[in-house]
Amino acid sequence: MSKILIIEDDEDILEIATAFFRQKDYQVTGFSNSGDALEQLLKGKITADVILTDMKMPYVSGLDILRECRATGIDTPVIVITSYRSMESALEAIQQGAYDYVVKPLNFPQLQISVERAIHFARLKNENATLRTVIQTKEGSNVDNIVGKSPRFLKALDLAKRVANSQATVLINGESGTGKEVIARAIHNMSNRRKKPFVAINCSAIPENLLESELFGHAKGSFTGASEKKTGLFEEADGGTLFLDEIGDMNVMLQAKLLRVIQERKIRRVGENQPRPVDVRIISATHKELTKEVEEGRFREDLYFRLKVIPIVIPSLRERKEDIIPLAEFFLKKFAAMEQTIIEGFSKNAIEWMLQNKWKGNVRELENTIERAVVLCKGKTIDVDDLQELAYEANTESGNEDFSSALFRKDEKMTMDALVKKYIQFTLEKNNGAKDKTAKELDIDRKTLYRKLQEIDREQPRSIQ
Amino acid sequence: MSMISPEAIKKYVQRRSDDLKACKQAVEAKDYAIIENIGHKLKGNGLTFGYPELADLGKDMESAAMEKDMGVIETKVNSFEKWFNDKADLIAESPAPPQP
Repeated sequence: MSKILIIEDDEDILEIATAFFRQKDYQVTGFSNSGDALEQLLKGKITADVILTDMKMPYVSGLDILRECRATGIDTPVIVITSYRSMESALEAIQQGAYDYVVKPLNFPQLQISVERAIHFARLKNENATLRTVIQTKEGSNVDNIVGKSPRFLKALDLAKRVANSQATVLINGESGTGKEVIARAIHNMSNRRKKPFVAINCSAIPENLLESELFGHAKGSFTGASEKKTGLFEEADGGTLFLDEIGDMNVMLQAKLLRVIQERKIRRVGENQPRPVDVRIISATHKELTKEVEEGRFREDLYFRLKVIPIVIPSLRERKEDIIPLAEFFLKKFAAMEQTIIEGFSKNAIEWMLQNKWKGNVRELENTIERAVVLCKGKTIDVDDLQELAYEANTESGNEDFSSALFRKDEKMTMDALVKKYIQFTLEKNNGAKDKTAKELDIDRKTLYRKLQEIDREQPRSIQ
Repeated sequence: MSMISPEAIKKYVQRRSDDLKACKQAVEAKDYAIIENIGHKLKGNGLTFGYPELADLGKDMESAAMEKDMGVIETKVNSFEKWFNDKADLIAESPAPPQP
């Protein structure tokens, strides 16, 4: 239901205009005192999709209302009502930013068309602004358009900004879903490498036997299935930035190869001896405590020191509670624009609940929760019941999580073999049991998949049906 | 104006009683500002409710008040009173109002 604010000192006109638009299912707020209306608008006590105001009123005119709104950043479209002898003032109102003017005597069907067009115009304008923000955040992000105001988060952003133009490696540490890749992209986009590629890979999402080939490429016939030569991600990112997410999950053998690439600035494709020079800045990230991994022998110390020249720690959402509501509002605006729906905000209870929730999945969980709430919300305000229900579902449906969230939510240690099996299970579940699709996605043949599933079946008889 | 209900038109005419009273008092007190305001209002809403003659009266009252021409004002207020008295039947029995 669209909201109209009508400001008209002539109570007869105000009354019939209010009755007309209410009959047409608009939510109408009427004021015969323009001073009161302006005060309420400026205090934010009333909002509207369109303002319909008479031009000539005692003390505060329609033009005054228009000017004050524009001066204070209220960009609600304004339609001015004027008498046929006041055309000059109507044109002045248009010059000052009024959307349209209508001349008395009022022709209500015509007025409704003007109102509808104004609302449509405002929606398009709003969507346009939001989509610009979305695009900038996704692809052209820099620290200035990342949402966050908590001191710890601002400190991390400030560091990212300062190191952007350096060639030094950056190690980003933070829980899953805190936005490590967003920061990595921001660093790239602010660096002098921004016109070159930003290539990201999640080291935990690729089976270990494929990761080397993904990173460095391979020669034709270098291993079974290598029917064509392949360029690796290092070469793809040449001149730009390579983001190695979940670096803590990389196996030790590959760590040694990575170390050598960083030192020599040359790569060798699998199955080739010829070194190829590459100019790549490496930004890596992990949710793990790498010092502990080093102590326990799972991560090379020399590589650790090579990667963490600039360490950036991203706090969890629990540690930056003051950012929860601005982030929720940002996501609400983003998804409402994408869904082409109007949702005005959150109820007080919803805000309270969001502030109290633990957000174990961090910003990603908050984003998913808001996205689903926007899609399913029937009214104009997202209430606590919807959020609670959605959060519960999100926590119980592993298929909606990414692999690292699903795996490390339990915080359990596991061997590489167990990790591979977990990944196979995860992919199979994600594909609703479709084995062909799963084998293709894992880049293994069906026989290997069946063999692995049989192994899993023997270990967990009821896990694979 | 076909979009306006007969009830709303009846109410509109009834409310002019207050305007007429205020006009007469303003003539006595030579309060041109009140005449100008009421004239402006009638000019704006008379046509909307289907009374172009009232809108014209309002327009004349407004400009006479701006020129402080009490002679014209008195004539127009008398016309306004006549117009209102002519609508006595409408207020009493609420027949179908005139349409523009």
